[in-house]
Amino acid sequence: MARIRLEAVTKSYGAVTALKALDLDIRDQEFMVFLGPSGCGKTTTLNIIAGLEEISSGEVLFDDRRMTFVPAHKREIAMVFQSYALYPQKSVFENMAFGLRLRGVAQNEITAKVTAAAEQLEIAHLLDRRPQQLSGGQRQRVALGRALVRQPSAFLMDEPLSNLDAALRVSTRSLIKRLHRTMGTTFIYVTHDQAEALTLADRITVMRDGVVQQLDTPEAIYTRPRNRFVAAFLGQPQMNFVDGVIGGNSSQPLFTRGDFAVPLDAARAGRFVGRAVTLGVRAEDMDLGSSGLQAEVTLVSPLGSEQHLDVHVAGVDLVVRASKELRVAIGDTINVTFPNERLHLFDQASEERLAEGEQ
Amino acid sequence: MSLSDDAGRGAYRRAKLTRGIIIMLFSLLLTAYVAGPVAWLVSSSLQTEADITAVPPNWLPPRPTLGNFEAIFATTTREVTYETRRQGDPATGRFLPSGAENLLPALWNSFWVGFWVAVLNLAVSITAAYAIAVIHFKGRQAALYTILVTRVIPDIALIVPLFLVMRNLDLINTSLGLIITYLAVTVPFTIFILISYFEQIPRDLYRAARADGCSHVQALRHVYLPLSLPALVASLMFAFLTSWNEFIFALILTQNITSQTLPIVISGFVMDFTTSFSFVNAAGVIAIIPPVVLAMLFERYIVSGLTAGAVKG
Repeated sequence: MARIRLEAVTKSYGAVTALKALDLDIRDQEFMVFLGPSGCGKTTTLNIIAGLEEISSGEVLFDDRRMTFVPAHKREIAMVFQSYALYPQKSVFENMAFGLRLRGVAQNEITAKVTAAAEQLEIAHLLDRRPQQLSGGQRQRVALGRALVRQPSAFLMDEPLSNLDAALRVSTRSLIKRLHRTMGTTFIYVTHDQAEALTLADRITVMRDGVVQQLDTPEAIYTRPRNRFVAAFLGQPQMNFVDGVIGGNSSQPLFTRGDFAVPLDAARAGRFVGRAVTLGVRAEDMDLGSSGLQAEVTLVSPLGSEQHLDVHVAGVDLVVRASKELRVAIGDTINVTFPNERLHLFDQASEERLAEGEQ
Repeated sequence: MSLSDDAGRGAYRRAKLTRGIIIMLFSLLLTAYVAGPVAWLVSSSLQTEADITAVPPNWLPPRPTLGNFEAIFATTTREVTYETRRQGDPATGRFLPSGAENLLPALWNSFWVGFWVAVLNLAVSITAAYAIAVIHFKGRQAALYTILVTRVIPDIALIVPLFLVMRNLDLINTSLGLIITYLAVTVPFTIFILISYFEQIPRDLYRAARADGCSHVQALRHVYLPLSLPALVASLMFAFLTSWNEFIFALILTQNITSQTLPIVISGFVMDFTTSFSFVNAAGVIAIIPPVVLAMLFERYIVSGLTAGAVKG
């Protein structure tokens, strides 16, 4: 159990800076997810918390203890990896017992703890096997068990589900979420998969090029992305972006790009008239009906529970979500409206979200 | 149509056969080239001096005898002087060269030096290789290159300076002097072999071990060493054999039997007034027994250990 803080942590490899003055405050017992594309610094951050990489400057604190120079093996953290990283020469039992043996725990206690964890993870029948005799899902359960038998101050997971097939990924994901509830330990979870991040996290840190883009709850990150990168990274299908300008006047602002025009809320966009902006709208945030802009359907992608329509609206291509009941074919014309409260506006130059509400 | 098919198939079969014959031929040539001298060594060690020097040569011993080996082990009880040498009959194989009594002590010296070179070589190289392969410390590349550069200089160029250093340290004519010298030869190579092996061990295993609570020493002991057995065995063999076979350093650094090794003593027999081929060959057989036994015991490990560094992607 620990609150984990990084203060102005910078990590450079020669001329390359992997992390730039990173500040993070991870609450005790929180499920924190680091989300970002590969090379964004999320695994580096995890390694720094684990003590596996030295930092160039800054501080790492667990609760109020300064951990910056405490070596990895004295930090009492547990890790789970994408590659499982089981010791190939040890049996499943010994893999799970290893951390306890290093701490000089008595044999009967080791047996009790390992057996209990194995039962919880439903791998009790595999304890005598070697890792190479197990399937991927079983291996990842052993890796979880190895972390589980100890009482670590934090659980660090580095893309633990990425090597599993789709069905197993979902079930292991729920297993991890249940473990977090029962254990009451701080979890830090690295992934590039937005679905994992949204389902698991109490809070998400979205990272890019060693800089935090946004740190907030999944709901806030999804509904109020702070910049265009975050908006594009979360959501399936990706948010639609249209570059244009805010025209009209401050009492009746209008987003325009050629023939494509969407009226905007005066309170929100009125003071940005004349600004070059990017309009962002998610596929599910547009309404299909009898009024609104006319759109020509260019592609229909049924997904079973819903369907995605590629449409052409006044010179702009968008992806719109439609219910599975809608009967529509390529070449049909439908009407699309853009509810104002669900539109996102980003400055074209800085890509930052335009401030909302009162000035 | 079917005719040309048959013709094609026949040509293919002939090509395959020719290829097989050529491969077989060269394999036999290679085997003869490698094993021939050893076979002759063993064969002639079982012959009397007269049979060895017969023309045409006897490829197989016409009258096999263990007399040469008996002569070697008799040197511990028999004093070899100018007189006894004159009485010895070269034709019986019981002729003893001067210095023959040094053979068994030299055998022991070779063992003693080889053992310590093998052990210390591993002890030093394992820790160095772990540090360079696993710990990303500053100056890691520089350390690696420094170690490798020491092997760029030919041994022969080092002999005179090495002799002076050893003389100043009072290590001439000591096993310790030889051990230190051989380590300087074997350690850089061994570090290199072990680094490439350690680097193949997934980095996540290191991270897992550290997170589980391993210090660097424990990670080395519980993760890296158990997973590197082939490389460790290969290194052990490499160091022992290098020491066992080494000639030029031993020739310069040792001048008496307190520390002379087998190659030096055996080569001394050839420089004698009369060379007893039977005795020299029997001594040669004794000299190759330990490496052959080691190689047979660890053959499995040696192959995978030596090729390990080569296949790194």
